[in-house]
This record gives sequence, C-alpha cells and structure tokens, in this order.
Amino acid sequence: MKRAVVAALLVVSIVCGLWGAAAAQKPVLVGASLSLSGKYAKGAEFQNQAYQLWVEQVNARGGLLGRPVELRIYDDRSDPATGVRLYEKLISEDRVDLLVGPYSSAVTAAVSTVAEKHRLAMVAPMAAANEIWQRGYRYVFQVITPASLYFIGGVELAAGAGLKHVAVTGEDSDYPRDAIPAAARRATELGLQVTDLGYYPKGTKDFSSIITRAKTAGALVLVCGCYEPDAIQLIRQAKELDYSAKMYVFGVGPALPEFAKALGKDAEFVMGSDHWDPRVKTPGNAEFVAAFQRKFGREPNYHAAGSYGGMQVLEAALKQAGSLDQDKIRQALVRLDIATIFGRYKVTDAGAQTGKSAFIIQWQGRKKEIVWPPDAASARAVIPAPAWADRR
Amino acid sequence: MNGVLLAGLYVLMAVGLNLVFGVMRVINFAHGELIVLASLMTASAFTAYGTSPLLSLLVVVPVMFLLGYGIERLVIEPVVDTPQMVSLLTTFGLSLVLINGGLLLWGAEERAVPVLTGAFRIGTLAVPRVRVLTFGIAAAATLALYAFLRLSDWGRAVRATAQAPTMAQTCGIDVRRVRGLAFALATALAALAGSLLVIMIPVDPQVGGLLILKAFAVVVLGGLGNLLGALLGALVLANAEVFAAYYVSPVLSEAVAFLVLLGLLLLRRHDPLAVGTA
Amino acid sequence: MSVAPLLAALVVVGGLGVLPLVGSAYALSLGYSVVTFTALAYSWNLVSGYTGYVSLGHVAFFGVGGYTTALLVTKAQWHWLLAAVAGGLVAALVAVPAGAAMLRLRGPYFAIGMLGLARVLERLALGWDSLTHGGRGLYLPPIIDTRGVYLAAFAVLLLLIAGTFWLENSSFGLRLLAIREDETGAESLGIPTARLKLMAFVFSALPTGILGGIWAWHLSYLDPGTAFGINIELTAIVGAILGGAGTVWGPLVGGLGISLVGEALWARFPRVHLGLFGVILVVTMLGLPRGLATALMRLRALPPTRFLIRRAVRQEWRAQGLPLGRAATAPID
Repeated sequence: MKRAVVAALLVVSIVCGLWGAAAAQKPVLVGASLSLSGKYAKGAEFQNQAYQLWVEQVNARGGLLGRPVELRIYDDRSDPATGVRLYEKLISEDRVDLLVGPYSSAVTAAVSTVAEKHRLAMVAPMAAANEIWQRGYRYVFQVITPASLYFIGGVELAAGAGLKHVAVTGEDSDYPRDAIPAAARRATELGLQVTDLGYYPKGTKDFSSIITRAKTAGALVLVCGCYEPDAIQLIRQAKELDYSAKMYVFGVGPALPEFAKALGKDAEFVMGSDHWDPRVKTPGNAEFVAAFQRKFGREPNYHAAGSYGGMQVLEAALKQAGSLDQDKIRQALVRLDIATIFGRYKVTDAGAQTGKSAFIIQWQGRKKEIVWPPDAASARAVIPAPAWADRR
Repeated sequence: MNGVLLAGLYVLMAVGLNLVFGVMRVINFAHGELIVLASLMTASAFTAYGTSPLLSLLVVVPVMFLLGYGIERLVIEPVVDTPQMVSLLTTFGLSLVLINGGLLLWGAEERAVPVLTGAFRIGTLAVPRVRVLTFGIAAAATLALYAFLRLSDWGRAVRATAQAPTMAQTCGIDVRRVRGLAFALATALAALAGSLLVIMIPVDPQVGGLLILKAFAVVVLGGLGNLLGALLGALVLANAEVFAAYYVSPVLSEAVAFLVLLGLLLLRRHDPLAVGTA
Repeated sequence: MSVAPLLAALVVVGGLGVLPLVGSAYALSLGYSVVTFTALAYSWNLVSGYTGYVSLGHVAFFGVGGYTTALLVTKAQWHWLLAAVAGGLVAALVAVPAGAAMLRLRGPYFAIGMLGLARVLERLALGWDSLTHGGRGLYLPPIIDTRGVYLAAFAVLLLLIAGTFWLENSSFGLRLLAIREDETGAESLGIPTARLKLMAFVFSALPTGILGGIWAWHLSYLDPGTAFGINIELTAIVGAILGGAGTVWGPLVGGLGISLVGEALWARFPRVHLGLFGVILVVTMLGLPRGLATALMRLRALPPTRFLIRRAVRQEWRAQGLPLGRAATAPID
C-alpha cells in the first residue's frame, strides 16, 4: 500500500514538474505593429531591427523571467487605424504578454488608447508628441527626447557666438510643432530676433522659397525642424541659391550618417540635434553598436538606439516587477530612473520623458562631433560656417 | 525662371500619360511607379558603379521600353475596351505590385544621385545647373516625340489608332501592336523623366503617387491627348506652384496648384475628351 | 429565386449585427473596419455606380465629416453621435457647391477633379492649423466602449443597403442609370440630369461624412493623413467595383471580401501584402470586370434585386394589354 502511494506521488510530481517546465518554456510574447510600408517605412526599418537584436540578446541571456522571448510584429502600413486594429489583435487574439510601441507619434497616439483601454503597459520608444501624454493616460511611457528640448542647445550656441537673428521653419508634423516654438521662445528669452518662415507640408521637395525668404530677411541662423530628406535638400538648394548662413541647425536629419553620404563635403559645419550617437559614452553603447553592425551590416541610428533603449527599460521594469502583472510593470515604469544605451530614462507621473536631453552635433572634417552640451562635447563648435563661395 | 525649368520635367512626366490615354483611353495609374522604377535603377547604377545618370539612361530607357511593351500586351490590352474604372483599377493593381517590388528590392530608403550641383549665375539669379539640363533633355525628347508622331509611318499609325481604332484596323494597321508601341514609348519617356528626376530630388519606392498627381494635373490642364496643351499645362502648373510657394506659403502651394487646376478645368469650353492633333 | 443565398446573406448581416455581443475585442475592431468600408463602398456606389460619374475623391467628405466631428467633440464638447451626424450634414452641405461645379465635368476629368478636391481639402486641414492643429492632429477624449461605435457604423450600413435597394427599384434610380448609359440621350428625353446627379452626389456625401465622424471618435485621434487618406478612398472603390458597381449586392460582397482578404494578407504576408493585393486586383479586373456580384447574379447564385420595379413594369404592361413573353421578364441589367 505504501509503495503504491509513493509511486503515485512520484508520478504526480513528475507530471507536475513536466507541466511546470512546459509552462516555464512557454515564450513571453512581445507584440507591436510597425510601419513596414507607407510613409514611415524608412524609420521603422531600424526600429524593427533593434527590436529583433534585443530579443536575440535577451534570449541569449536566459530570457525574461526565465522564459524565452518571442517577437510578433505586424505591418500597420503607417496608418493609425490599421495600427489600432492590429494592437487589438495582438491583445485579444495573440494574447501577447507585453506590448511595445509602433513608429511615429501619429500611430502611437491612436494605439495608446487601445493599450490604455486594456490596461497594458506600453513603452513607446518612437513617439515624441507631447499631447500623447496630456490625456491622463497611465499606461504609456515615453523614451525619446521630448521635442521641446531638441534645439535648445543650438539656440544657446548661437547666442553664445553673438549671432543676433534666427530664422525658424519646419515640416508640418508633430515634432517640429513642439520643437520650433520652444526654440523660438528660448531665442527670444536670450534676446535674439526671430523670423518665422512658417511650416511646410510633408513631402515638400522644393525649398527654394523658404531659403530665398530667409536670405531676404537677413537671418544668419537657420533652424529647421525637419527630417533627413528635407535637410539634405535644404543644404543642396541653399548652395544652389547661394544662401550662406552662419549656422545651420536642422532637426534630426544631419545626425544620420546618410546625410553626410548624400551631401559629401557640403555637409560640413551643418548642425543638428541628435538623440544619440554611436560614440556617446552611455553604458553598453559600444557593444550595442558593434552587435548591430555585425547583425545587420550597417551602423545603427537613433531610431534603432531609442528602440533598443526602450526594450532595456522594459526589461528593467520587468525585473523590478518580478512578474507579468501589468499594474506592477506600470508602477515600475513610472518609478524607474536608469541609464540605457540611449541616455537617461525618467518619466513624469503621466509617463512623459523628462530626463533625456538632445545633443547638438556638427559635422567637422567629415566626422560628426558632439558640440553641446559642453560636458558631453567631443569638440568645440565651429561658428560661423564659411560661406559657400569660400569653400573649396 | 525656376518655374519654366520645372515645367520641362513636368511635361516629360506627363507626356507618357497623355500618349497612353490618347491612344487607348486608359488612365495609367502605374505611371508614377514606372518613373520611380527608372529613378531607382539610375540611383543604383550610380552608387554601385559611379555611372553618370546621363550614361545609365542609355540602358535604363530601352529596358523600360521593353518592360512597357510587355506590360501592355499582358495587362493593358485585355482592358482596353472596358469601362473607365476597370482599366483604372487594373493599372492601380499594377502600381501596387510595382511599389511592393520596389520596397523589396530597394527598401524604403530614399535614393539620390548627387551630381551636377551648383548653379549658373545670370545676374543676380542663381539658376541650378541640373534644372537647365533637365529642361534641355525634356524639351528635346518632347520635340522628338512630336516629330515622330507627325512625320514617321509608325507615328501616323499611332495617331490613326488614337483617332479611330476600327478605321485604322480596316486600313490594315495592326492596332494591338500599335498600342503596345505607344505604351512602350510612354514607359520609355517616363523612364527618361525618372532618370532626370532622381538627380534633382531624392526618390523612394513610394513617391509614385505624388508624381502621378502632378502628371495628372498637367495632362488635365492641357487636355487629355493633347501634346501641346500638356506643355502649356506644365508651364501653368509649375509657375503656379513656384509662385504660391513663395508668396503665399509653402503649405498651401500645392493646394493652390490644385485650385488652379480645378479652376481651369471648370472653365474649359470645348469637349475635353477630344483627342489632340499632336 | 432560390432561398439559400438570401438566407446566407441574412445570416451574414445578422452575424454582423450581433458581433458586439459575442465577439472578442479584435473581432469587434475588425468588424468595425469591415462594416465601415462596406458602408463606404455603398455610399460611393450611390453616386459613382449609378450615375457613372466615377469619383476618386469621395474621401473628401469622409474627411470633412471626420474633422467636423472631431472639432465639435474637442472644442464644443458635443456628444460623439450628434457630432457625427453633424459631420454628415456638413459634408452634404459642402457637396452642394462641390457637386454643382464638379458634375459639369465628364469622365476622367470628373475623376481627377474630385481627386484634386480631396487633396486640396487635405492641404487645407494641414495648413489651417489654428483650427485643425495641422499635422499634429486632434486628440479626442479616449473611447471606452467600442460597441457603440460599431453599432452606429452598422446602422449606417443598414440604412445604406436599404437606400440602395430603394434606389434600385425606383424611377429615380432608373433615371440615374439612364445618365450612366447615355447622358446626352437622357437629356434629350427631358430628364433633368444636372439636378439628379447633384441629388445623388449629396445623398452619397451624407453617410460618408457620418462614417468619417465615427472613424475619428473610434480612433480618438485624427490627422489629415488619416482623415483624407487615399487608402480609404481606394479600399471603398475597390470594394464597390470588385463586388459590382451599380448593384445592391455588389458593395456588400465586395466590401466584405476586400476587407477580410486585406486583413488576412497583411497579417500573414507582411512583406508582400501590397503586391499580392495588386495581383488580386488585376486578376479580378481581367476576369470579372463587372464585379463578383454581377457574375453571381448571372449564375443565379444571388437573387436579383430589381424585382419590385420589374413587377411594376409587368403590371403596367398587363394593364396595357401588351404580350408578356420571356423577353418582358428577363432581368434588366
């Protein structure tokens, strides 16, 4: 009789053990929709790769909470409505354990409502619009530099160099509409004259009118809230139309390596705001850059770094929460103050980023140097930029 | 000045669309994608081998010519006599296939061919070199097309098919081959436009939609099937855009261009569907 | 007339109706999308299918309705349903001068003109940022229960189906078809083509605007690209044409089909869904240019929908003592 009981207990425990092991081996499903096609496709490519790299690395480290991580990505075609549907699918059909954000503020704005409704914490690495965090949501978390802090460094550099007149313009989309007014305000605070050239629609390819008006107004500093293709086109046309500003501070364009590749020596002396640089001395950054280069054959840009950083934040929050309970994860995300490869992560109670500021970079001698803030700088800023006619 | 030069490129972009509509009454929704395909091929040749676009177009244009012929025989020919929407949706489907192909082969990134930067200085005006060149080539190509249609046997066959297909058939013209030729020609012209376009602005696989809107505007302004009208249309559109961008605001310049388009459309007196004489 | 397909249709529509009660959150979200695009196909069909005036800018009214609703909700704190109806009314109002101007154009000019109108309105939404917040978009109060939104869209769909059925069997509809087939001929018969075209145009703008308003509320966000997006336009058109323009069954078959096929495509083939969609389009256009529903109707797999008017015609002929052979009762196509 005793032997039967022991045998039964043994069988039961083995079965439980196997069952437990199976459950433990069940992967942690991380879901997101990314813009694999449509107007945001280019930026989302880097985000996709960063997500994949992180998953690969975290699995090599033993996964999350001892379980392997699996990524599930759908294509939202750069359309907020499709994104909403896909996040509903991820949540109710695929039953993902964790959510991460899509690309662009527009899509994030729409899908964050889904996350909030289902009370799933979502780290949204590629969303910058302040309004997303002004709605009283509690489950969405910002990683990226807030747009209002993009150009502050550039304006301060201009004031410090004694340049008195700044012209501002930007693409008519989310970040410029936060960044440019903030920059204009800071400029006015510092006693500079500001000329507003207005916003131009997304997809504009011809900037001759903007440049001509800046030239006519006599502005010596051109600040533009734009993306990379516009920045490239602006410099090309500035040269064509012979507009030699003393400082060019363009948004996120000049920070990307493609900028210098496309413009060659014309990229020299152009400044931009950078969320991140491969050479920034944040913890683990060098390893991240090397791994990314190895896996994808190209250097990561800040989209990749921000997305990877966002995943690091998620991992840290999960460690602190100790489980997949969304409320515990949410609390951890609110309280976390850590350094990622991307920079510092610290959010307000609403989830908006407050700890991360943008670096100002400048192309000098074919190299991208960090020129602001002074304590993080790798070189001094070169102001004024020589006129086009004087360059050889 | 800028407006006139821009018009040159617009004409080139629109001429192919015009030709196809004139000959077979099909609005080729994939026209923009064909332009883009040529742009991307030119850009690749440049980045891989450093070939100047003026050289690579000697290969790109004939390749696209053949591609156009193939597309016409396979996809367009069956929908030639069907209601407008059928051919429109067919070419739209084609455009999706081309966009996807572009995305798979080239990725979503923009490609540019940074040659011929810098400008000629005429007094106080800075005239970008690349636009002068584009204008020159576009003008030459348009004139060549005009001459072809007016003077050569094949050109006459094309015009005959455009004006009266059944009559043309009875006169012994192989209408199907003529249509294939017309579409192939249109694609070749689109390819030429694409090769030149990528020198001026960066191109990615998804800008075809924007391009075709511009081409539409030109074609509609000048009258579908009317070559000379297309030239006028391009001039109006390009100058309206440049004017509006400078004096009104960059945001509204495209809207102004469209409003001009709409206004002129509504003012047209004669039957807009008459096939032109050019 | 066989009962089976009619039953099947009722099951489908009924199923859509009870979805809010039984479906998961995703099913509801997908269902909302399907219902909206089918309804859009119907509203586009109302004007373009019946008058033959193919519009490539129908989304203009979608966007007008969307923005009206979004603004009423955010700035004037209206209830979303009221705001959506207001959106439809504003869209219809806009349709009056727009239609009066545009409908003077024929064929491809009308199509491109409407496309231009939609682009102009999109630019306006982008540029008038003191009102519309331009490219940043409008943030609406978050939506908690999507069932209400779904039911509203479903109600619009039902009304549109009923409306199309009525149109199919009315003299108004017949006159519109006459315009489609031969406008100058219709004019010479004394049909007031300009007025009828405009009526159809405005009637189709109203539900489109309402659907746009519901869309904005459902997303809790609206920007010009979302409100005037060309993919909304094209999905509606593709749905109507693939199903069969100018019919009652067409937009239902096409709208459902295209939405579900589209969803399956990008979920399963994320990298090539665009191209596959294009291939499906091309193949369908080459094989079934008049639409799936028309083919099904010819095969008697779907019941005809013109029976009311055919009965009226038959009664008329009987009263006049005319012979009623097979020819007299053949389907009017």
